[in-house]
Amino acid sequence: VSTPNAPRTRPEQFAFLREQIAGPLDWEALCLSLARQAPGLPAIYPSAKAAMDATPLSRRYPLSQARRGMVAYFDDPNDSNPLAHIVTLAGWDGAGRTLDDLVTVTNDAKRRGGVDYVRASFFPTHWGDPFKFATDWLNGYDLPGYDVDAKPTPAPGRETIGKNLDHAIGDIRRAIRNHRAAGHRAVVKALSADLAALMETRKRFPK
Amino acid sequence: MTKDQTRQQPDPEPVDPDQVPADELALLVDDDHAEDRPYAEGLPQEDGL
Repeated sequence: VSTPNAPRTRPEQFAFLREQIAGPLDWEALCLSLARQAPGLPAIYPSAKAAMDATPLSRRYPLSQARRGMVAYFDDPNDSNPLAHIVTLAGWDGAGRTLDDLVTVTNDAKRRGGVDYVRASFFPTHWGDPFKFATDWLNGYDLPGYDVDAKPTPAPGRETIGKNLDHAIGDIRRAIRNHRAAGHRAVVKALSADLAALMETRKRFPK
Repeated sequence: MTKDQTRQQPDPEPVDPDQVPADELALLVDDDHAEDRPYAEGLPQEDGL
């Protein structure tokens, strides 16, 4: 199965985010929703942790390869928030390549429910969540390219939403097994709730 | 808006695709200007379907 392109271009992705920055404080605890709605992606994974664990290894990039338009994850599997955090990467501020030089767009950092530009160092410093990886993959889609001003070329994905959800359910089951083996009890509990929610959603799609 | 005024509008995308555009960088909130964030820990990061 080829990975379909996000329906929106990168300028459209950031236009959406800028609208949310200027908009009402509606994004409390909705980091994944914010990150996936900006490029126009459908809801698939119930939490940032589930989406993070489902990201193909080949699409996970270190800090030095982070680019504008990618998303990035911050997580400590043993802290009080087992569901991780996802942000959109706005790009680099200057020539450095540390977390202080990388600017993100995030909810809940500066204003509860608000969306703001903050440096990537915010999350390990204030939330205790280290940078995990950057990626140009989200919810089974390619995020908008870096020099794409035209509409992305459509690419075929899975045939139905139901098949997408089946794949996501398999991803979460594998993640639960991995976290159980690693002793991440809070993550196992959180992802089990994600799995139950996703299986309920799956019932709404006959195919 | 005249054509000349249109030309003066900032390009929403940076010339260097890695860099944050200047108009977005102007919105960056640095930590020394931030409020305390007692709510930051323990938030579920859910995404309703």
